[in-house]
Amino acid sequence: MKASDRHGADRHFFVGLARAFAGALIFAMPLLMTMEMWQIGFYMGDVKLALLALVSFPLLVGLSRYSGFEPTYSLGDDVADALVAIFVGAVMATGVLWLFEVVGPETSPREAVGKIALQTVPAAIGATLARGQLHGARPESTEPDQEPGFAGELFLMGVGALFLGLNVAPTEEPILLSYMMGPWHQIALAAASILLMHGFVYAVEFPGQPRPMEGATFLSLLLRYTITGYVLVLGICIYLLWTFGRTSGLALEEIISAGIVLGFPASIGAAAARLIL
Amino acid sequence: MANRAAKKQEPRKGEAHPRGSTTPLEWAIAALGAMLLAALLLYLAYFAVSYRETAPAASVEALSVAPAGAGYLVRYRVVNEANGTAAGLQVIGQLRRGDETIEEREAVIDYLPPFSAREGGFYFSQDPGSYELVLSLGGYSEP
Repeated sequence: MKASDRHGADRHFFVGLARAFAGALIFAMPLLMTMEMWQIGFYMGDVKLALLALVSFPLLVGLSRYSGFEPTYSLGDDVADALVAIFVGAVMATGVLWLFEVVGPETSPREAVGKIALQTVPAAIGATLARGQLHGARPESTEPDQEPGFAGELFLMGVGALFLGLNVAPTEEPILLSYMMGPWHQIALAAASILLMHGFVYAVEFPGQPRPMEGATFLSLLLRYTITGYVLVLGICIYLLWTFGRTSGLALEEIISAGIVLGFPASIGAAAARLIL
Repeated sequence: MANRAAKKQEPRKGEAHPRGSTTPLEWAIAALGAMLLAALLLYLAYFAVSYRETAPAASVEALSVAPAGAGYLVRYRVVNEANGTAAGLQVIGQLRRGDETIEEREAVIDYLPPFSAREGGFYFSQDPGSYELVLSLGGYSEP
């Protein structure tokens, strides 16, 4: 690589890095200012937090593949993107939590690490998304991050569900709502979630809508994408509730109803992810 | 928001990011990210292995006694020396003379994180110096 090219690439990288910081800040801001996130950061089990950090890594790699800010061409590039996003998320979360005095010199190491690590996950997702979304133009020949297949669509739905679910799951409201709502309202909420998911993607004609495949009937689209997607969304919601310690001591039916409540925002996140990413 | 149409715009001039090239600088930042992730996992694994017990172990001590307004302020510090969190931890401060409790005050600490300390104070109307000051802890709940 010539010196001038190297300079251009570095400049390009710094612009991308600045976008990543902007994205981490925008996407993680509601969570940075959610007190449950600070508390859960220190009281959640070590294993649960480590698992969340572990799960987020392949997720960021996949997200970089389908959306990332740099047009990527190889797994190595996607891994680099994901690691840069983790770095950006951690630095941003540390900086903002320090400004808020949520962490400071008197905070014990375990408490600080828990608070920062938990915020790093949504911040890193935000960093990766922003590098994709705030991007003005991208070269035409970026086949890898165009038109994901079935697994790719499910992956994107999962990321969208995780992201919106992550914003709601730490709060007490999903559990409280699941106590307040009767079974019929819960069934209605599940039906509404599925309807909205399907409507968002196939009926409302947002830009970015996937083209209906040749010969694909309404029922086949509903079953293959929306219903499968909704089951995935529920799984992710229950994983998030478990991670945040919201399921401990609950009976199975209570866990399912909390999952349905959290599934409402998460399914909209899943549908939106298919359109936006 | 970018949509699929926008993604198909012409490449910008001077877009110096050729195929398959993550620059050394980007790899350096990525290496820092990898180190952070690895350090986090090791740190958490260390805690998970070293501290199987997850009940908090809290103790309270008085930090200072000083006149405040019409009465006295006793500042206290509660320290947790285990890998468990106490939520809604009760802190009780008493002024005693023999078996007799002259004054009693109570405070609640919302959360006492693992290996952390929290501080607070009790307002007494009598001078704690003239009595026996007893600080103790009440109940907590697991978050």
